[in-house]
Amino acid sequence: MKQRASTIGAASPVKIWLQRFAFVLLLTIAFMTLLIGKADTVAVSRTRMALIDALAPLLDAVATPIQTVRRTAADITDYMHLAEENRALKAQNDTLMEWQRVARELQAQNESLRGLLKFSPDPSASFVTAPIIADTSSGFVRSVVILAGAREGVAKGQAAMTGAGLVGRVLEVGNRASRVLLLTDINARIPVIIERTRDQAVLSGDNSPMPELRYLPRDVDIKIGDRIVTSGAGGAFPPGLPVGEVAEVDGGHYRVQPLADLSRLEYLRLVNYALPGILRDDLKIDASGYDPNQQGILDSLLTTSGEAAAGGGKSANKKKPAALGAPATNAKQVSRTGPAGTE
Amino acid sequence: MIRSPFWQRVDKWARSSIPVGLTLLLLLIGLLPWHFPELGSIGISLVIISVFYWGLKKPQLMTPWSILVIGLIGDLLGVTPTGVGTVSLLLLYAMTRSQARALRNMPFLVIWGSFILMAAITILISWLLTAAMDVQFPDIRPALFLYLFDIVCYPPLSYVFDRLQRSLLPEK
Repeated sequence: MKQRASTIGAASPVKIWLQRFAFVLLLTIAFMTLLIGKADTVAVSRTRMALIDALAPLLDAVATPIQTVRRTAADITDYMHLAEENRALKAQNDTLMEWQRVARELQAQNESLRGLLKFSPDPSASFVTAPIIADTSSGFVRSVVILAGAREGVAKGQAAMTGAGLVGRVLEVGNRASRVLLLTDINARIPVIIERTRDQAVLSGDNSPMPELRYLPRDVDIKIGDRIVTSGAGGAFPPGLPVGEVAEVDGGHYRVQPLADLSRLEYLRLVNYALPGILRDDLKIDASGYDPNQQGILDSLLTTSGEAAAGGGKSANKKKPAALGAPATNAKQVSRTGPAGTE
Repeated sequence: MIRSPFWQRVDKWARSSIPVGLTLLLLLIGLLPWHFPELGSIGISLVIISVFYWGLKKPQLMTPWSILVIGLIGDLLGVTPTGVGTVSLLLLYAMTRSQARALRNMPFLVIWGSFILMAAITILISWLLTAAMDVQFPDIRPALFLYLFDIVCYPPLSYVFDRLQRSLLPEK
């Protein structure tokens, strides 16, 4: 007893000192994590993905009923607008039938021209479909966590898509879960092209629902409704992936509404186009802590680069092929297939 | 029934870890894919309520070290950019502790008013730190949504915390 009392007695000054300076010490540690997070993102990324991996089964178990409730609420809203939507879809169907006819003509023409030129086809793409188990899209970060990781063949830099269009890219990969940076995040930079005018730009997120087009030419002629697709610059994504439509034009500032409904995401398709683009990892730089404003437009393009060249098809669990509304896809693997067209 | 000292210790430990455990649970709830259209998820807002409440009512069970751990876990899970959540929550805790004596035995409305002010400062700090780290100002609307969500959720959540405190963490 005496020994214990003396131990406490000896520890007390240290304890009092620690209590007195604890807050300053903790605040210093907290500020250091700010700097570490900015500088050494590889270590932070590994720790983060280990934690998310550990929590993934729990998050998946809880996220499923929430998704069901959200889906039911969305269904009720859809039923309320059924007649109006039906009219719009009929009109759209007429237009699409005409496009289909044009597309078939062009396809036939294209095939004959490719034959003449001995054309080498685009690299085939493989993809993984995975459910979203966590959503960190709050005021400060715009990202989601999906239940598919390295063991399903997910790799950093892969394009995350829904049937409607591009959603973002894979930022960090764990063993069983991955983190996808949405194109609305403040760090997201995607090289795009305005489909009608062919002007190149960078789609830059700022945590708002509609990212902004930057680095446009001065005499650009952009109208509301213009479609925005990936340009293929930097080699991160192939050209032509649908991204969004210009929704707001305000004094030289152009805002884009993503084609994918980012507020109703349930499943994502991670597509590996196996492109040999300029990869930040090849340059021994990690993209997640990158500041585009300091290094100009070229680095802005590089921000979107990932390990697209890593190649898909690592996993052996080939299940069923599915089509994606993107160029030349060749479905190889599905980690957990959701209902068709749910995304 | 007389319990053995071991179970008494387990019981005491379990009770004393309620504030931190509850805060971590709220952090996980904030991570779930609620996703309100246009505004995103609820993120760190419920954690702000919990840190304020327990920092005010049971500071011996919600220590600065536990705030550091909660903040780091939140940052690592991606609720806030790395370090931003930790700094903001520690500053919220410091503000709460500095006003604890003044707020003791005050009516609920005064405490709620203090929370409204401190939550505004906390979310503003988070927003400014995010802007500083990314060298551009993020959209303010999702942060405002978190703030309004905090204001609305404080009364019901503090009522639940009150009940928990009275039943599981009685004053000695």
